[in-house]
Amino acid sequence: MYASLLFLLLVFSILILLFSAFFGYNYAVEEQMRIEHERSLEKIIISGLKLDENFTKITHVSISNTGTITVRIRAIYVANLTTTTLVCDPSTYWETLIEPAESLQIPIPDGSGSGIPFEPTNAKIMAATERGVKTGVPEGLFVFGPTNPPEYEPSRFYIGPLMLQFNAFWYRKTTEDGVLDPNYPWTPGWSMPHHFGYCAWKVSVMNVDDRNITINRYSSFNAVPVDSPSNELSWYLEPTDQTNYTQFIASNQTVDIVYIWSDPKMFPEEGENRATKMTLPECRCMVFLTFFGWFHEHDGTMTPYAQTIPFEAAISVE
Amino acid sequence: MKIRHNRRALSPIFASLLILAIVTVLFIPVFIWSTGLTAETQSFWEISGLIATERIVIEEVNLRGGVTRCTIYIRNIGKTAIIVDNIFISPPDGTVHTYEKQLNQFSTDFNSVVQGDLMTINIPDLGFTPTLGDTYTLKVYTTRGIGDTYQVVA
Repeated sequence: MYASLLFLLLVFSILILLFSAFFGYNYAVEEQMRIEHERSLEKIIISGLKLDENFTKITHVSISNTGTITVRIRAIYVANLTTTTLVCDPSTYWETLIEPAESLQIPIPDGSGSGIPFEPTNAKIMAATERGVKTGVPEGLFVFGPTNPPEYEPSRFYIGPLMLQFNAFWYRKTTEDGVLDPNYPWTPGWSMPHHFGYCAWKVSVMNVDDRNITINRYSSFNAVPVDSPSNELSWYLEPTDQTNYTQFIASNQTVDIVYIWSDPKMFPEEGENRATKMTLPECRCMVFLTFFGWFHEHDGTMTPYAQTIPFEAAISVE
Repeated sequence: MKIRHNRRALSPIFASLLILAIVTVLFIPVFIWSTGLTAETQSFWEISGLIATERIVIEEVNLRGGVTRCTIYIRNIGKTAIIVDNIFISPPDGTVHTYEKQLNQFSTDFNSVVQGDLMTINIPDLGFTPTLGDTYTLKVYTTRGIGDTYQVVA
């Protein structure tokens, strides 16, 4: 009887100790999970800097709480080209709790007065919360503003000196010898009948470079069917200079360029050209313009030039 | 010859006391063994709880090209107080530079920091010269093996 009592006492003691330890661990894990969850809800941004009257020192930092939980700002750092420094823990002299969707302007003291040096070209200011969430921005951002991305202008889709005029794009029937059919006017080229036959293309381009350009007979107009790229068709340049088989495009001038030939235009001794025949079935094509030639440099020299202009929209063969 | 029969061996009280004493003496080793086992298990869970709530983040690092010292800012974001005892710095070539507190290879402004507080670690001599523009990987570990990793461009 006595032994049984002792045994029961021992078993219960052990169980109590073990369960208390286990539940202590369980509580610790839950507590850490809560901390991690709270941390995931934190988000802050530096929304502004206040400078002194000489624009040489930062006197205040504005921080916005864009998260969904109250935060406490515990550190301000500054990083420049030579060092990263902890400026201060603002919670030691200022109430730095920020409620969600609210902002706080925090004064920045230093040893010699108020503020820290303002270095708009190379310094970054950072703030950190008690839960270790950090944000940072270049100081200059608040003075010069963000760099705006270049505006996208769909009608000026080019990288190079020749800019395509997208509203000037035509096709026209030709003979096999490349003679333009006088009875068939230039027609907008965004769609054309399938199996159209021999045809020419005309586009307008502007030389937006400050140098004159001469393009040669290897410049071409290429139609690539989306579904079968291997059936690509090319139309080569009909040059305006029938002596050198080139076309001159002066700086800031807009010119029409006509493409007719299935091969680069040949000199008389090289043979005869034929127009390219539109043989594609009903399809959609991507179009690429390729230019080859020379820049006329300001010092009188000439340098090679090449450019590709992809059409932003496809043409339809219907 | 007359045989004498003594009908009383031990008194019931004495017998009970004797049994109690024997059981108690026999139970002592069992008790010691069981409490030891319990203490070990309890200690295991307690340490596991401490480790579970130990968490640090490397908030900022001052490591610049051409400068052979380094400053690391660590924040304790767990409930357990932390003590940092090991730092590893890896240059892009993959070598690892180790710094131990026991060898006085770095110093801290506080020996231990509690939840939410910042610890500043100074490494006065890195033992190598960081190259400007290279990326270095830092790992900081506490005495219980909890750590954080940070990449910094010198």
